Amino acid sequence: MMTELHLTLAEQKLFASLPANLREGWTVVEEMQKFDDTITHRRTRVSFLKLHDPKLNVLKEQIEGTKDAAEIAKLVADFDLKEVQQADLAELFFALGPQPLYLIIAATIPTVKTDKDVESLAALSLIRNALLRAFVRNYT
Amino acid sequence: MTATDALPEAVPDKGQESVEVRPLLPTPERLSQLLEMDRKDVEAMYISAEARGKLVDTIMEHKEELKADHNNIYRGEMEELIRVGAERLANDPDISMELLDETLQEVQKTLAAKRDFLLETSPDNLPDDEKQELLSRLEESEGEAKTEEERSLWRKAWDAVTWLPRKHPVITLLLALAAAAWGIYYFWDQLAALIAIPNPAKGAAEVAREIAAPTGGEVVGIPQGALPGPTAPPVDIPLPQGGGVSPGEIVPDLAGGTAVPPNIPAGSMPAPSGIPETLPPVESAPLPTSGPPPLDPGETPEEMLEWFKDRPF
Repeated sequence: MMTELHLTLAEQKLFASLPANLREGWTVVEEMQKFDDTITHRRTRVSFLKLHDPKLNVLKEQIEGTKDAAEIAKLVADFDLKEVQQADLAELFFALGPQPLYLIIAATIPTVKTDKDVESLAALSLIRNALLRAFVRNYT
Repeated sequence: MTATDALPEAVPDKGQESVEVRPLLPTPERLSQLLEMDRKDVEAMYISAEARGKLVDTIMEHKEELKADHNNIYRGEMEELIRVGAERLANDPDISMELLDETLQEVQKTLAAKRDFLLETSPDNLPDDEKQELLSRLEESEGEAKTEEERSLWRKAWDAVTWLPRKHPVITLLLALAAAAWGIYYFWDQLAALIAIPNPAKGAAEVAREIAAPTGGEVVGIPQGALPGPTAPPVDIPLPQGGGVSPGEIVPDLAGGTAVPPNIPAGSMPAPSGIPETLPPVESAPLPTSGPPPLDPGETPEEMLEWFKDRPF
């Protein structure tokens, strides 16, 4: 069962300002790992990205089928991750790397309103934690 | 204890000299020594797309001996390393061994990091041979119950990620990466505005030249400030060779494409720091007429957090 959030000290301060009922039941663990990603690492990760989900295939075809910027923006805005296969989510987050997740998590904390929001936040922090562990172990 | 912490390294038998276990970077010279094959024969197999499979087969036949000194003897990894090495040699036959090694090292580290990440978070993604071996080692060291507990945790975590609302920046980022993998660089400027990558002042077309498309299809790069059309100047983006994508699959074709950028610099280029003044809204995607503004200072997460105060999500 997911009960932990892995947050930096600064993120913990933000989380602490949320209503008590949202924070109840969650254990906050300090995220202490640090990793400086590079362009080379990122490029190489993207080049080994393997996607299989039919939902993403449909999106690809839709994007390729239009050159209209507004249409592409709408396709992206309308896309949600529901039913995207776990395998492809893992591939995408690996290619992304941990660095952008700092900004995303910090921006997400103040918007949390429900228990489900906290669970999504915890999931993002868990993914970042696992990415950092794998990257520190192998890239340094 | 996490999955990756628990992974034991391959160790030599007791009684033998202690040998550092390190990854195998399969250059032709190294392979000819390890497999006791004529170097010219190895080189010929290396550069032939058909014969490479047989070279990998030969490596795997020697797997148990090689594992004593090398911790990456997996079919998938050997296939990718040899393929990338062959592409580098094909692009630059006079490439130095040091540069070839650097290229293979970068690829090897990436594949190892991916293996560790997937083993912890999504082991069903792993190729069968790796999955079997790594999961049984993990269960030996952690116990089956703990391993199953972690897998259950991660099923829940991935499920929770899918609850993110539409237009969440994470979704934009992930789709931009998927698009880049498909050879579509339209989103690259938006992506660059959210993370520090290449030179954010460069347009998508220039970035497309640097990031070789792994797909077998046409690379589509839309220059900043313009959509391609009959009057638009041609975008000079190299078209990768190789097959296309099978129906129903979005598997970037790495067989003939340039899976690794042709000129990996000897050292890493430092990524530009900072973040933009506003997060680009997902619902409107105006084509930028100039590069994103200079990024705000703030390299540590704590400094970045200061930037986010009082700003709308």
